[in-house]
This record gives sequence, C-alpha cells and structure tokens, in this order.
Amino acid sequence: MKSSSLFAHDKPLQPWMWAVLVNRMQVGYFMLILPNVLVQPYMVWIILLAGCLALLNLWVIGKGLEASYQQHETEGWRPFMGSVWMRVLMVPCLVIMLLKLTIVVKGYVGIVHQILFPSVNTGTFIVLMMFAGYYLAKHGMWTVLRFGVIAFLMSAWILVLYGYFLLPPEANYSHLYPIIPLQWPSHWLESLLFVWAAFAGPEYFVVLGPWTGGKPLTKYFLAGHVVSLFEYVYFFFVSLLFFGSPYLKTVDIALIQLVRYIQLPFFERVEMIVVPAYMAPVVLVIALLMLYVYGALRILLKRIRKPPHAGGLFMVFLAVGGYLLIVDRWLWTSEIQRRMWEQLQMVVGGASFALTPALFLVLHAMQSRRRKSEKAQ
Amino acid sequence: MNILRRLFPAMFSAFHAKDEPAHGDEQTRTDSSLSVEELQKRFCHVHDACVKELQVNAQAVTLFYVRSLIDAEQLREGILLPLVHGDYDCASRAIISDQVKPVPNLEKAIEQTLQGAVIVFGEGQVFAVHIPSTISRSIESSEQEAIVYGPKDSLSEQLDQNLTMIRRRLPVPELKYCLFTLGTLSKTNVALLYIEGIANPENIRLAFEKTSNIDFDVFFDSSHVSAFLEDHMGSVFPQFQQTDRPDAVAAALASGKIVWLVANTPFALIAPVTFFDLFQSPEDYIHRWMVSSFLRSLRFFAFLFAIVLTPVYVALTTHHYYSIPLEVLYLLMESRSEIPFTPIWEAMFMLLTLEILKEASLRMPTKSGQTLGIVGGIVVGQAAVEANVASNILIIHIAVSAIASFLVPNYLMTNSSKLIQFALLILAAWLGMWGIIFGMVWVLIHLTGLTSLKQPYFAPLTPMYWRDWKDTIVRLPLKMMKQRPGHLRPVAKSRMKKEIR
Repeated sequence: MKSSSLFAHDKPLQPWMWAVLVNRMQVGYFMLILPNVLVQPYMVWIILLAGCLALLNLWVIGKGLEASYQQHETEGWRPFMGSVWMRVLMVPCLVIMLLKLTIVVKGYVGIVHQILFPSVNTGTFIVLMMFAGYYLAKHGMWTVLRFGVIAFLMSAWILVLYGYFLLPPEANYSHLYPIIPLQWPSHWLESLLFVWAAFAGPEYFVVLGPWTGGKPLTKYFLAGHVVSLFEYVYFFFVSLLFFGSPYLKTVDIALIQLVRYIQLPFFERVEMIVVPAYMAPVVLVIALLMLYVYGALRILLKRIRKPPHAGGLFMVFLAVGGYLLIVDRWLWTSEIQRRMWEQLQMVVGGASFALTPALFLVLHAMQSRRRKSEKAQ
Repeated sequence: MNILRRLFPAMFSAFHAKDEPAHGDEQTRTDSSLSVEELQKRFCHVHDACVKELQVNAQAVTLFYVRSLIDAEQLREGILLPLVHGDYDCASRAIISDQVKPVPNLEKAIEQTLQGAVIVFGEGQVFAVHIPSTISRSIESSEQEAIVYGPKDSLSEQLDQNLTMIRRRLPVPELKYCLFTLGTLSKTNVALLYIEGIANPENIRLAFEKTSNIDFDVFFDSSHVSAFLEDHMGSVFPQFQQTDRPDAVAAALASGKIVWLVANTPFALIAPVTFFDLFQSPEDYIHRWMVSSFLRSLRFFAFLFAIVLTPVYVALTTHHYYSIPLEVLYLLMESRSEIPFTPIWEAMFMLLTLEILKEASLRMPTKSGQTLGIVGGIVVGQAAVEANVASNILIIHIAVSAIASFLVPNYLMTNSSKLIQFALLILAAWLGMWGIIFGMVWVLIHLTGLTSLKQPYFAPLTPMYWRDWKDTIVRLPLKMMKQRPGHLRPVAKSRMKKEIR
C-alpha cells in the first residue's frame, strides 16, 4: 500500500458497516467489567437510561455526519474554526485518544495476563497488540474500517455462548429481585456516568465524513447502538442470574469468570478462546486511533497539505507503543492505579462523547449564520 | 472496446497495426538493408537456418527459414508446390494464405523468422509466410482439477488451441482478445481476454496497463506473468486463479473477470479473484446445490482444520493441558509419557518430515510413488511412534490436517496454508491459544488489505456483498443466481437475456 493512500477515501464504506463499527467501538473493556460495577438488578434501568441518552447523542452525530461540510476531511472544519483553533483543538483530542488507547490496550492486556498467562510480562502483549494495530493501520483507513466486519464476526458469537447461563439450573431468576429499587440507589450518578462512558467511541467517527459517501447514516448508527445496548443488558443479566448480586461484588471480571463454568466434551476452559477472540475489536480500535493520532499530529505540525507518509505512521507507532510501555511499567501497576485510569476514562471519555454533538451543533449554527450573512450581502 | 480505444488510443493503434494485413504501400515498402545475405549473417552458426533458391517463371525466389520452427508439410504444400508449379508472374500471388505479412526491415524479418515464418525474397518484394510448427500434446483431461462429471478437456501449451476451446464455449463477438508479446528473449505471446459489456472497464484498463508495463527477459509460465501483474508481492496468497480448465475460464469471463492466456503453458490466469473463489470447483455447478453447498462448506472447514489442528495440539499440550477433559488427558499423557521432546519440537519434526515426503512424492517417478507412500506412511509414522519420537495422537493430528489440506481445489492455496501452519505452530508454542488467535487475526488483517487487480480480495465478506453469498460458502440453485457477482462490478449485472443487451 502506498503511503499516500493511508487516508484515501475514493471508495465509501457500505452504510450498514457503520452499524457494525458503532457496535464494536462500544463493546470494549468497560463492557467486560460493567457487571462488577453495577451489581444490583435494578441497575439495569441505569443501562437503559444511559442507552437512551446515547441514542439521542448518536442521532445528532449521525445527522452531523450527513451534513455536507463534512465531505472533505478536516478541510470542512477549517472555514469555521480557522487553522489556529483547529491546532488548539488537536491538543485535547490527542490526550483523549491516548487515554482511550491506554484503557483499551492496558485493560485487555490486563485480562489476558490475569486469566491466561500470569507468567508472561504484560509488555509482551502490549508490543504484540501494537504491532497488529500498526499492521492494520498501515493498510489505510478504508481497510481499517472494513476490518470492523472481521472484528464483529470474531467476537459477536460470544453472545451465543452465554445463552447457556440463561436457563435453569445455571440461571437463578430470584437473583433478579429487586428489579424495581426499593429506595433511591446510592452512587447512581457514578454508575450512569460509567455506562455512558462505556457507550463512548462512536464520536470518533465525526471526522470520517469522506468515507460515508454522503449517505444518510443515522439509522445505521442507531441500529449499531441498539445492538450494543442489548449486549450490555444481556451480559448484565447473565452474570446476575448466575452469580447473584451478593457474590457478583466479589468476582473479578465476572463475564470472563463465568465462561469458566462452560464445559464442552472436548474442551473445558472456553475462556482460552473467548479472551483471545476479543483481540480483534481491540486491534481495530488501536489501528483506528493510531491513524487518528497521526492525523492529529499532521494538523498540529502543519503537515496537513503534504501527503501522509508511511514513515510518519511508523513514528506514531513507536511513540504510542513507548507511551503504553511506560504506562504499563510505572503508571498502571496496582489496583489503585487501575481504578484511577478507569475513573479518568469515565470522566474524559464520557465528556468527549457528550461534547461532540454539541460541537456539531455549534458548527451547524456557525454555518447557518454564515449562509444568512452571505445571502444578505 | 470503444471505451478502451478512447482511453488508450496509442496502444490500440499499435495492436491493430500488428494484425492488419499488408496491403498498404507504407507497409510493403522494404528497407534496402534487408537481404538474404544479411539474414544469413545474423543467423550465422544457426545450423537449422535454411536458404532455398527457386526459379519461378524465370524469376529468382529465395526462401529463408529456420527448419525447426516451421511446419515442413505446410512448407511443401503451401509454398514450394505453388511456387514451382504455379503460373504466376510474381511469388506473392502464388502463395494464397492469410498468414502472409510484410517484412519492412531486417529486424522484423528476424523476428518473424523466429516466430515460425518463411521469408520470401522475390523480385523487389520481401514478405513472410507464417507456417509455425505446431508441436503439441493432444487435448487431455486436467490432472490438477480433475472432476468426476463434467467436461474433460483441458488447456494445452498451444495458445490458438486454447482460444478455440474458449471461443467454442463463448461464441459471441463481445469476447475480445488482445495479444501482447512479452519477454525480450522469450517473445512469449500473451492473450488478454474479456467480454465487452460485462467486464468492468476500469478492470480492463488496469489489466491493459499492467500487462503493457511488463518488462522482463523470459516468460515460460503464466506464474511468471502473474508475478508482474499482482498487487502485493509480499503475500503468501495467490492473487490470480490459475486453471487449465476451459470451462472454468469461460465461466470466469462470463461473470466479468479478465483472463490471460500465456503461450507455451496450459494454465490461464484469472483476475480479479477473491479468497473464496479459490475454494470453488467446476464440479460445484454439476452436483445438486445442496450437495455442492455441503462440499464447499467442508472445504473451508478443512482449510481451517489444516492450519490450526497441529498448532492447537501444541498449544494444549504446552500451555493449556488443564483445558483438556480428564479422560482425554489420560490418553494424551500415556501417549506422550516417553517422548523426550517438547510438543513444539515433536510437531515441528513430524510436520517437516511430512512436507519432505510430500515434496519427494511430487519429484519421484510415478512407479516409485507407491513405495514412497509405504515408506512414509507406515515405516516413518510407525517407527516414529515406536522410537518415542512422536506420539500417536500427534501422528493422527498431522495425518488429518494433511488430508484436510488437499480438500482445497486450488493447489497454490494448499501450499500457502503450509506456511501459515508453521507460523501458527511457533505462536502456539510461545503463547498458546492466544498466540494462535493472534496469528489468525494477523492473517485476517492481511486478507482484508489484500487486493487482486485492485479489487478487495476478501469480498464479498469485506466489503460485504450480500447478493454474492449465494455462491460463496454455499452454492444456491443456479436459477437464483440471476445476477453476476457484485464485487466484480460488472457492466451488465443481470445474467438474464433481456437485461444483458
């Protein structure tokens, strides 16, 4: 692949593939740890509430993408923001992206380390995951987006596997009591923010207008999100039905621990397949964010007019890989530090998900005002 | 064709200049340096180069040819007898053939002589009569893609014969054929075929562009040509389908693909192809659709089985032995109890032995093949177990995966799977199941990024073409395949008569 085709957008992505991408961006590390955070059965309403709010958010994002000013990559933003403000905006964007990468990679690698290979250094997995992400990113944005289908197929089947826990005797439906809270739940706002942040991810698509081919995508965004919402509720119920609230609190990464109870006639530890299968969506996010970081750096360093270079992407790979290894070695080594990163992502990820539609609305208002003034002249 | 003519005016003028007969004054004008003596000088020490001098109605006529390149029967019947016994005032009128071509200069004369022409020097006229020797084997059935039912003929080394077989299957004027001569030394004729009005013009343009840009000295096989046409040279997967079945070539043309026929090789090249195309067999369309669907699904499963079965054994026995049910674990422990090697070395040794046996069976004479089978299958396998070099269970794994790999109809794909298997084996020994799936993800990324003639190799999966799934992993009834594959972006989408024209 030629380096100049990293951001080539001569072929639009098929509309329904956006649904798959939205879905895979939303089901990540936070979904796996969600049952341990919510615990109580009535917290399902929190998931539904956050899901409905996210639905509105995605509707705005979808509509924003359909707007014509998004059809020319970041050029479309420049007339409204100016190149200086664009560069200023890139600084927080880079921070948000690096934080997302940290949570996605380190969260997944932590699970692999804990469940599969406690004896292997987490750095090894980080390096391998980064290599896979770089290899995908090297093929260009169009291939990365198409890989969404593979990521979906490689990980969506896991949903079916958990169906085993929906039926008695594994499922104890009395664990669903109380589904209606007897009193106002404590920490409800924190839980809502957690679920909201878990649904974050599709806001990264706002700059992918050129790959939409100008087609209306809102319904596909919403469809993808509805599937994600179903998965969240499904996995929450499954872990609740099996473990019950009191025991669920004490189980670490309940969804993965749950799989250990499945015994096939020829294979008894299904988590050996389930945990690696989640690798594909993680690689997808790494590749996407790596291209985003490279794009942001090109804007920041005033290189947007020059064609993208494969060497530039490689430098980003080295820099991001180095950053993740530093985080792994010094900044995410204990449970307390893990909680701190999760809290940080909860706030920053949630805020970026919430603010992106607002940014769209502002840009839309600016565009309308400009049109009016042009008509008046 | 008109589209191409507009896109490549220079190229088309060049092609047609080659094919047009020599009637114009410009083309019959001969360079003064062209003479029999000059030709003889250039063919000095070429002992089958012949000069024959004749008298035709008091005119001296000289023939120059290379004996081993021409058809002696045609020389006698078509040239010598008409010249000697005919009553014509000039040599060119005596010879009635559509293969008479002008010879404007010495270089052209040399080129045509080497293509099997007789250069005729008459009174102020020089022309070439093409009577190439057609040494060829008879039309036989395909060895590589043998089928039980269906057409038995296969392509041969003769380009014209191959074209005839394809044209008989597709007798339409829309089947276009352009000839390229590739190789500065081999001068290999390469025919590019497509159906105008079905094949995508962008694909045709790209095929012309890539073929005309080829620059190399020799081309002895279609694989050599494909090496210059492929988009990714660093891939283990074949980006062109190679087949010697004319029915497969005709089917590919009818679906909107482009075909290259290379002289002196029976294997045609087909592009654009997808990963899934390489699992199809012409017999799929002969069986009942349910049987075909089952067999095709089985091939995909077998391919996966062939590449992961041995690595999974290594992963389980090295890292995840606690994943194996207790009853099976006892068997495995018993089988491996006296083996001094780790699973990776055990598997690596046996896999390499198998590959050596497979390679040897290809190179050895047919009669020795049976002996090799006995030596390989019984002696090596049995001895390896008895000598505690490999476990019984591993031997079963390797045998099953070897048999499974042969279910893939495309031999090039079968060979590709070997490399993937070895890579997965190393990853399995290092990181167990996680390593195997990491390797699989890597292969899937590679397949997603791969293209064949700039078209996605992993279509119709990604990008997804729902309609094409009727003929991918399953094969639905032909009546339901009313449209050509969408991923080929054909001009005429429908296969139905009314909508094509």
